[in-house]
Amino acid sequence: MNDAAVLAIIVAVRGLVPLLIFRWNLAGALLAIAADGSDAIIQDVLGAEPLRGWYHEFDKIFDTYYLGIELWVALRWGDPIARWMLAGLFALRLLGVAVFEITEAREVILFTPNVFENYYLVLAGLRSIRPGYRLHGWGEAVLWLAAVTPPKVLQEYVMHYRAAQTWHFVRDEIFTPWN
Amino acid sequence: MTGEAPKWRERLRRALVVAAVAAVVYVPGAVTLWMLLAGRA
Repeated sequence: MNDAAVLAIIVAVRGLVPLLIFRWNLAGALLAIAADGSDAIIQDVLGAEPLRGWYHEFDKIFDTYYLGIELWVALRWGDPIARWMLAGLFALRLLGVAVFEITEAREVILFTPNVFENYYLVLAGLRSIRPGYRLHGWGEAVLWLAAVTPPKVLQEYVMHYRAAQTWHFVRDEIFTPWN
Repeated sequence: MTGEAPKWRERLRRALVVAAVAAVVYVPGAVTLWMLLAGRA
């Protein structure tokens, strides 16, 4: 398949799937993550690389798009502490992405990890189990933050600071370990 | 009896929500830790 067709498929997937977040706060977010990871797989499977050379810029734009939808949704949950936490974490991430794009210093991404996403998922999960769930205080808010930050920092370190190809590792070690 | 099925179905749904969120939050970190330990990062 040619580059333009593959690019159209990737843009359609990454542009449309996050819209599900408006209807299904948690399931839509999980599907948006799957869509986020799908671009490298789509390129691999269809044998074209339209994102070669500008993948990070493309990825950051669509990441910000779906995380922005999550923030939009969360601001309407009627949970003041969650609102402040998520707005702060989103702003931190946005600042990190902007500074990284200007300076190209990978350390910036390491110090501004995408904790927003994990935090949103936990709260969306809690609200899915107990509709109308609200954080009971800043203590609980900080506890959840402490629970979801370490795995994301590790992920940012390997994927963005060390620039390791996670998908290739998963493909080689988990999906086709016999190769 | 009619109330039983929705109850276990709701429990299953809640368990799936917890499992899905835990997997998405922790599995990527675990995989990247594995990459580090395997010298692939």
